Amino acid sequence: MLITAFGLLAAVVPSAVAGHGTLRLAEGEWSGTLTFMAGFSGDAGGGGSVSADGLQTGDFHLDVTGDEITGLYALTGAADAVVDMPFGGGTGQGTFNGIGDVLGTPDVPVLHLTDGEVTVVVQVGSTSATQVFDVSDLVPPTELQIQRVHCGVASGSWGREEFITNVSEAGLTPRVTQGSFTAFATDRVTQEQVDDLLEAMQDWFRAWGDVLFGPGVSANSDVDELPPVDTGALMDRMVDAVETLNNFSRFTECARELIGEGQIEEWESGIALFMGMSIQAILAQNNVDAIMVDVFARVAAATGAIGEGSPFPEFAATTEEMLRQEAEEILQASAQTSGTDAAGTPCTASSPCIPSDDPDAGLMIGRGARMGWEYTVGGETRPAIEWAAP
Amino acid sequence: MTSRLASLVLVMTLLAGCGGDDATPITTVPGTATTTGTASGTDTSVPGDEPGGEHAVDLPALLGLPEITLLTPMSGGGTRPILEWETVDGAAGYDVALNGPGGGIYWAGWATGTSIPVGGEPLIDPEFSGPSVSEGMTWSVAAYDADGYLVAISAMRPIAP
Repeated sequence: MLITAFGLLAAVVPSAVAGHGTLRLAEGEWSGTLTFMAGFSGDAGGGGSVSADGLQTGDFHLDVTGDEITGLYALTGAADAVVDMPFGGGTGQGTFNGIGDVLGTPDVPVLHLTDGEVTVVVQVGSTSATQVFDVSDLVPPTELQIQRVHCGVASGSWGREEFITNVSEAGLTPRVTQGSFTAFATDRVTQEQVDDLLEAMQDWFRAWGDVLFGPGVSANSDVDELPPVDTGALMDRMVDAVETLNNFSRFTECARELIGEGQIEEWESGIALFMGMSIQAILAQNNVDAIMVDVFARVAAATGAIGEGSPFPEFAATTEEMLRQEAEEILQASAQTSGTDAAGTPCTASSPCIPSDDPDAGLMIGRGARMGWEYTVGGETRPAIEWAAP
Repeated sequence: MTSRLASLVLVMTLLAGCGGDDATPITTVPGTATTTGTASGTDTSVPGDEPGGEHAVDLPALLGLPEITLLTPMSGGGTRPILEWETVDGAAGYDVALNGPGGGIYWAGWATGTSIPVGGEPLIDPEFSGPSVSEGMTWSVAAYDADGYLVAISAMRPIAP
């Protein structure tokens, strides 16, 4: 569940869509809606006047591949017209049904009507007449003007200029003209996906907490009060945490925006804290070898459980000190207190030697040197690197 | 426990192979640099070395291990430079450590390739918080074999923005 949520959020939104101000539809499938609302009024001749208002709505679906668009759209609309003449008046109702292709480029999609029909019902007095017009060839291609593309949602306007031009050329006055569209990338990050992730992360931390503190027990930063832990289960959680933390860095900008400011940092802090607690708990009840100390130190530093970048400096220092002490014990166990070292220097209890061919000792000296640790062996405290054989 | 430890190493190894570059590391938590107490802050300079020089701590010589050659310039790469080094035969992965001015660990990453950006990932937005390089830091790389032992190590080299 968690990984699925991460996958959806981390991989699905094409970068071109994620960018601010990129007025271009990114590769992939898009679906959207079209709305057009307009009216006009004017002289009907013979001292009369005419006015009409209408609304069209529709939807479209398109594929963007490279610099090409292929898609389909459908529109339906209705308009009411009123004609006032000195000798009387009349009303009319028109309906429109049309389908067509969406072609053009990802920058400028174009609606091409292929099949359109207008039905007009005119009522004058008690007489009504119905006429049907095939307008398939009368409607010119109309551009969708993209004005905003952000996180898989594109919006803009269409048809307004064409309508104004046509109506004006007919000697009429356009009014309330508004054509808009909204398109959604089918693979965009959605709020639902983010909500799923938020819930999954809560469950995930709860499950880790159950292993650390016991089921249903809230977090307690004092490791001495923790119950005995299931080391295997805890290490499984640590493995999962490393993977989870890595997924955070793959979130797209849009995913981060939907997840909310500061939320990812909170999760990172939570992982750093739980990782530190887990390491402390394992060290407290297990004998660990050199490789384990080294891996724990590496994982702890990589997750912020220790180190100068840790969100919990004091707790991190405690964890790091426990790791250092474990490393020190391993070094002490390897110390040679008799004979001579490779350079012929005598090895004594107060001035022990660390064999240069002991890989565990080498691992701990290397780790300690890179962590800035000191080790005390045989009562003598030195920076880690100074325990290396000369 | 060994299998779990192997898993921990493996998951870091496998994740290091994901993504666009040859190395996609684990990232650490960004934060404010602080002193880490008794475990950190040791002056790791070695007598005879020039402060801030190329080999402030000559780990390879002292540990008797082959030296990993670090390729990233000591400055000029910005606050999140890409750290690069030469490949090591037999290395299963590389542990990269960035140490703060006090000598303590500041950030660590794991890579199966021979480069890693500071902070782990090339960040999408520079406004995002994350580890970064500042004056007085050093970095080093340790190569591990499949059993988890060191096979080579670099010197601790200064790095600045």
